[in-house]
Amino acid sequence: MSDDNKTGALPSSVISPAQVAHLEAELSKLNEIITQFEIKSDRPDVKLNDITPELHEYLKLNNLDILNPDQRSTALNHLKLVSANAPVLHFSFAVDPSPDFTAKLVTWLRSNIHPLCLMVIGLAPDIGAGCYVRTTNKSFDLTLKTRLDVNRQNLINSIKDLNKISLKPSE
Amino acid sequence: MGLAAAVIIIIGLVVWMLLTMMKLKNSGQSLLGDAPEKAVEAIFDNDFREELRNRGRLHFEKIITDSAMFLQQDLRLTSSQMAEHIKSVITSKLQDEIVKYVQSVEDAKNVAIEAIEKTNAAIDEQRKALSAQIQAEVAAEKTRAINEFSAHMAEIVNHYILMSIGNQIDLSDQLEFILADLEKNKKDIIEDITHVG
Repeated sequence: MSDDNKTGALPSSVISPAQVAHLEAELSKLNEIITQFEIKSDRPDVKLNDITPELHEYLKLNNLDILNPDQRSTALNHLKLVSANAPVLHFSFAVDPSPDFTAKLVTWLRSNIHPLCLMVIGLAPDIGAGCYVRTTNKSFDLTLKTRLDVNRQNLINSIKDLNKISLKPSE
Repeated sequence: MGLAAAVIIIIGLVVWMLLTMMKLKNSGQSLLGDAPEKAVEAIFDNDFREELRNRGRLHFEKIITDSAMFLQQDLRLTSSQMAEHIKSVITSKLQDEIVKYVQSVEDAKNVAIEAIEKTNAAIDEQRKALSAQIQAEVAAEKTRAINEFSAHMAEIVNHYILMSIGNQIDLSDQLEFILADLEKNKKDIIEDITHVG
């Protein structure tokens, strides 16, 4: 992992700025604890099952050793950079998405939009199906209503065709 | 009339006798003396005079009776004729009035029929106008409803879907749909976040 924030990766379970901040806080706290142990010349008694799954996944994804002070520092800097600079997309759904759904969505975003994309998820019950997406300066209406609007003429043509069929005398 | 004739005859007879006696007196007074006067006295004695009175009385009564009878008959005839005349006048008058009454009833009936026909015609006109107005309003309302539906079809269908399946919508089924839309808008999204970055 280098200082270039493009090469550091985020796990799919970490999707929001709040989760990144939580990771950063947890890593920072761990860093203090381990440093204190090192000062006392004691071997820090930190096991991987003492840390959260998100932090565990982050360390594993980036091949980081939490006991290595340089790698801890790099990780902290990386997380700080992510918190400060990562692009955030706001999504509004009709219902609360499942973790599996958000994982797949964020995976696609990090593969196609930006490797460090973060998401903020909100609820908009009147959407029905689809979602609203908001970036810093733009918003994108990806709802069912917009799709229906776009395809309205197709619906009207279908109704007209159906009407012609029903008005034809039966043979 | 009869009485008057009898009286005249008697008076004439007396006058003739008086003249005869005067002549006789003038011519034979000297001859007869008062013999004629005695003869007259002998003829026109009280019985004769009474007889004459009775006869006159009877004749007078007969005349009165005949006159009364004629008067009665005349009165009966006159009253009968008057009754007939009055009857005919009243009948004629009644007939005239009845004819007038019938005519006035007929006229009133015709006026009423005419008024009813005019009212019916006016009602019919109003009914047609109201019917046309209602049809126009219904057509306008239908057009308005169709235009409203057409203008808000997406919202209506969206609302219908929400009401039908509500929060049973599974986002997992929509992932492909959402990713497809994100793919379409990918360039704009990248441009926006990169521009800010």
